[in-house]
Amino acid sequence: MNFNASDARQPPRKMKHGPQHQPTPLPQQMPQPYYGAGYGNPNASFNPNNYMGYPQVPQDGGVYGAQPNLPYQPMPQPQGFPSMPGIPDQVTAAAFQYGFNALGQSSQAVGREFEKYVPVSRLKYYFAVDTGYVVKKLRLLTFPFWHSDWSIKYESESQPVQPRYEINAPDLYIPLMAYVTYVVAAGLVLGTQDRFTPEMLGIQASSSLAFILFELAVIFVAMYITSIKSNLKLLDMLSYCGYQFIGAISALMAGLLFKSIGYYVVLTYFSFALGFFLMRSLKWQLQSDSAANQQDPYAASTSGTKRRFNLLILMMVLQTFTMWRLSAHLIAP
Amino acid sequence: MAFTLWTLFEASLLCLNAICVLHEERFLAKVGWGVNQVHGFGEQPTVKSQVLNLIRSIRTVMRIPLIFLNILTIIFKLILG
Repeated sequence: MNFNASDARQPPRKMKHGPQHQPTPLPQQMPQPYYGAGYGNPNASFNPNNYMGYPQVPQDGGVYGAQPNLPYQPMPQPQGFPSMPGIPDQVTAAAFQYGFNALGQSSQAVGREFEKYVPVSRLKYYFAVDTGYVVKKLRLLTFPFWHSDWSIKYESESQPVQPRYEINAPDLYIPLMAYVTYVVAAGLVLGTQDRFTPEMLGIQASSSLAFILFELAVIFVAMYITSIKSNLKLLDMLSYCGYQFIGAISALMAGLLFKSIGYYVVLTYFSFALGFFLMRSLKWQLQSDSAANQQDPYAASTSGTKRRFNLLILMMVLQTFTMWRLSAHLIAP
Repeated sequence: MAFTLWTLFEASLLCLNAICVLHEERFLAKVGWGVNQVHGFGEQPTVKSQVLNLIRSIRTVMRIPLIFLNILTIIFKLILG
């Protein structure tokens, strides 16, 4: 169904339902929606002919008319709508169409506002992983000492290649899964000590979330204070902080099997491994200041190096401390 | 002592309150942390100037929201103990 006022100009379409009705003037008065960078527009072909909703050429000659000034796929035929008594079908269809339009526009507006605070469209990048990547990354996290190439390939100015093609890129799948596994593993360990209650799961989950938030806040404040500018955004930092759950889970499992001594051994090993991993990964991603950036983005000024080093040391210490705090109270005394 | 989201919220509220009650003239200037004393368009802002900037921006931005957050927290604690 084509609601454009240009209906009169076009040859009448084959419709299964009744005569062609008066088009509602409403869709033309709606402003063209603005698309943020992350949204895909299914009708994205910018055809100047269609801009004001007056198509010069019919998009397709079928029953499903094209609606170029609407931001999503064409709605199905009116025979899918419920028929209300006393109201002709076309008016019902028009009412439904208007409702869908308004809903679409308002949800888009809400989405745009939300996007400013939580970068939802960037999230897709962090979950573009496959099994091979996960296995290799886990191996890298547990034994990073033999890995030689730590550079990340970029496909555009600030966006690295998707994680499934680049093993050094950060992702959010592993931290998320590790977080959930940590909560479950905590429950398991508590259960073996007869200390388990269902509330403990919730407490562990919110407690570790609080730890992560605290770490992120400390890291961002430290980055501001030492005026180290980098391309790392919130989600990148979240992923680097989330990798410590792997250490916590492994330490818990070792503590389960080998009692206290196994727990502490695995914990110290993972502190070193994670520290090494962070050092190598973040060394070239933290620039020191804009002056250095302008002159030569690849050289590091001397004071900048010291600050970067200190920041990395701070991150390592924070993550070691958090790993320890996350798991110590769960081990049998 | 449990480290939950609620305790984190309380602790951050207390810290922000502490930063907001630091008086510019009566205290910070005396210690040498006043706003006028640290200027300079140097190449790289020192750690101290960044910290002072941070303190000043927290005080400017968070004054009003902190009032509401404090009221909420007080009511919450009164009701739930």
